[in-house]
Amino acid sequence: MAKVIVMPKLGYTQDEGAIAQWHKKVGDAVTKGEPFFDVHTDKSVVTVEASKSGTLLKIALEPNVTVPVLTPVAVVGNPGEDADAVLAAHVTATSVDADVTADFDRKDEASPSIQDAPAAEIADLKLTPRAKTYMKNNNIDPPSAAAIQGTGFQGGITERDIKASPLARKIAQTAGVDLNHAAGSGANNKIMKADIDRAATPAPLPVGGDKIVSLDVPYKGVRKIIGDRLSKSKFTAPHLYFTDSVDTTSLTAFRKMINETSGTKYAVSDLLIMAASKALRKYPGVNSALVDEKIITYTSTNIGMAVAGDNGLVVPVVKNVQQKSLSDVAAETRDLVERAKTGRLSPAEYSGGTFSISNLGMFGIGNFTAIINPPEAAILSVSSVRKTPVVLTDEEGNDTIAIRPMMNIQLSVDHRIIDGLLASQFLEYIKQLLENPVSILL
Amino acid sequence: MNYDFDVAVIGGGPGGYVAAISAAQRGKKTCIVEQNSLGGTCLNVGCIPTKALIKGANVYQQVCNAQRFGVEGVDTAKVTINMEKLQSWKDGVVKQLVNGVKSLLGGNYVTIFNGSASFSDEHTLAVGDQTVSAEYIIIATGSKVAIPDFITQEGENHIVTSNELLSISTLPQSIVVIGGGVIGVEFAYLLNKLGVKVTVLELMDHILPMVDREISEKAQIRMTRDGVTFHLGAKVQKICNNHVTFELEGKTHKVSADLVLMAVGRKPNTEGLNARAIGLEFDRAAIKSDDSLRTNLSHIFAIGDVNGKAMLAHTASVEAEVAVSCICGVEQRMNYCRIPSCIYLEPEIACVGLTEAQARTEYGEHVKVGTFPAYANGRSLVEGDSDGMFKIILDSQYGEILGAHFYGQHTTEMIAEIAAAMRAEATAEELISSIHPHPTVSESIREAVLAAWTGKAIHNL
Repeated sequence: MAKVIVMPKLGYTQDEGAIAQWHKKVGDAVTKGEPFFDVHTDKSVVTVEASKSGTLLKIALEPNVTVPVLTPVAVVGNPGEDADAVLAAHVTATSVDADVTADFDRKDEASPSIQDAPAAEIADLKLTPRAKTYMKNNNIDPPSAAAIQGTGFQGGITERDIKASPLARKIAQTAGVDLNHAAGSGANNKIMKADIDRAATPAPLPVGGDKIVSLDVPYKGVRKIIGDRLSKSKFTAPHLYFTDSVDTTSLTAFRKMINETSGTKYAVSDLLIMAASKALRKYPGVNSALVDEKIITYTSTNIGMAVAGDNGLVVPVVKNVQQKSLSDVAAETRDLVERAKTGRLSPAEYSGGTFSISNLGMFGIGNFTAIINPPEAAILSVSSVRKTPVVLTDEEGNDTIAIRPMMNIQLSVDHRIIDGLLASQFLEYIKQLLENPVSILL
Repeated sequence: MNYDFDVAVIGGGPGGYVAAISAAQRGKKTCIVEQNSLGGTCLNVGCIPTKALIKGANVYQQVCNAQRFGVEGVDTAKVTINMEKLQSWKDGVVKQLVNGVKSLLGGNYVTIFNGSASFSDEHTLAVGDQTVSAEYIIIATGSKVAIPDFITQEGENHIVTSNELLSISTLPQSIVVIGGGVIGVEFAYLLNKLGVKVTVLELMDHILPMVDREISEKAQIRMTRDGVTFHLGAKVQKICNNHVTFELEGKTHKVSADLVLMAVGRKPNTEGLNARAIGLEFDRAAIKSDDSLRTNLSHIFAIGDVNGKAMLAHTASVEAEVAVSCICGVEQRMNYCRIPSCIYLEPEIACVGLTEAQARTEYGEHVKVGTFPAYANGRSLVEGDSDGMFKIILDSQYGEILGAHFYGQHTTEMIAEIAAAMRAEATAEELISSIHPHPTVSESIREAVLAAWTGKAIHNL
């Protein structure tokens, strides 16, 4: 029995995904457990294994088209089965269940009822509004549209399913042109090759205008996911910020010492993660989250490190740091950061954090403010080390000015669950740890 | 300003009469001016009469060759062709079609003026002693046979054009055809089949320039086998009495024949139109028009041979509809890249789009070419002629159909499939997945596309 494969929901926060690459072609044999296709999730590329053996009968989603999770992407079955009928039955039979977390092992199409496309009224078809309007304006009768295999959500028919030449479709796919944004010049406004070429060519630069456009890229994919999450965080969690400067004289000396002693190269970030973990255990109120009207406080200190990857910002998470040694953390971080940069993290590796650190020290920045990575409640931003004149008071109360390597750290907290006092105590404790680095490991 | 008509069409050929009917159907008060017979070159001295004569020649050949199909009792030595009777058959066909055009025009309430039109001003035509004014004017005056001035004519020569040749009642013993384009080659084919000794002189190094080289060469080989003599790269210098002198590879040659057919091309016909006087712009002999067929005067359109663009009846008819659509406020443009050409030899040649050479120039490495031989096709064998070849040229990236060149039985009836596919921007995959009925010659199209796209036809190794 043929089976419909859907866009998997690979993480709690994942609402949509796109195929990065198919490992199989239509007609290929597929064996359960072997790599089937790669999915772009919000932060990385995940290889999805086949959940059923058989022949790949149909690919319903071409690469780089973002669709909601659970949208059918392929049909696997025995050669000769009617993939389109199975898909149509799936679309008819499936009701969206937002709580379904994984999809490609669904059992609900064990006995899909294959039926002829029903003679339907426009209202019964899965049509986009534009598609409905188009049908009405062009006197297309609903039963004839019922046979169209839609490319929209849940196989819904979008306007583009009705009118673009085969060649235009192929070129649009390669050129990354959204057919919905191409004006059709063919018979009955059908979208033709020339229309795609036009749409793919950047609009001529306005001459003498205020703004000369150099690039016009759709806001979508990873960039949009990052943007949506950050806006949600910034606009729903009232951020409160606390700043202090850390004298890194001891931290640098300590790091040099352990690097020389152990032969392993520890990064400042490794020490920051250990320090944060220790501070979170001392002030568990910061190690918390507001989820579904509940304030959850964690024992685990799962610490995310913001990394600039090829595909945008990624935050791989070192889990349960409270149970790990500095060398464990260093090794794990190195591996995660390396893979984060090339987008080869699994969703589990960049989710499940309880606290995050954004370290831009290596980029020479003086001070900056970070946005909390939801659903966490706090984030520590770490800036560069700069030689700064500071006032030192000796044991006799005499002040002197000295030049010290100072590093700004700033804590952003969600004021809904963390108050200023707690935040100040936490930040001051971090400062103490960093200025007396031996205590990080005690 | 009141005009006598909304639309006036000058010329009643396949451009003009289609324009007139189309305008009338769209509610325009329309008239058409024709100085000779309705139907233009196409119906009277072009497409239709040549095909009618070729039909006769083919029937004659079939009778002569009927023995191969087991037909007995035909004394081939006694089989002859009666040109007068063939001509009257042809005339009957032409007459029926011309009357058909007349009744179509009448049925659509188009006013017909007999006479030649001349512009009095931008909106007014003088037809004989009548004056006709119109808001929009469509010029569809066609073309006439071109006689090149670099060929010296001396003595009492026997030069004819296609016009005269179409109505001859006595066949010559021999003929020299100057020009290896469609007209020259079709007449060479026709006369050869009727038993005339034919010599073709062509300036270029190949015949039928719009056809893919691989196919035009096959056709030339076939015609040579049937007895036609071709001299390619021949520069005709002089026609003196019955002798044609030409230069070939630096040497001067002479060929003699009863008649000389001048078939080097056609030129736009604007004689007596007074077009320059009202300010119409020309491109050499042709009236200049844009892709919507508008001349430099926005209410005057030039369609068909007179604009010098494609010089094909079916192009003129499409241009007519485009022009009328623009007149009626719906802007359209011509696309000249997908015009099919048909050449009525045996087997027939039909092509559309780019030749392989053109495709390689335009698309470089991104070209896939596939061919399929007629001998591997059942219906072609049944028809008794398997010399043909089907050639498909694709863009290798998307499988866009760039060109199709067919040489085979009934191919003139099959090229519209490719023209429609190209218009709909179907790709190789759509053609491959379209079911072609069996047994037909058209299966060869699918096979050629398979060969081009996948590198492997089913029925050919």
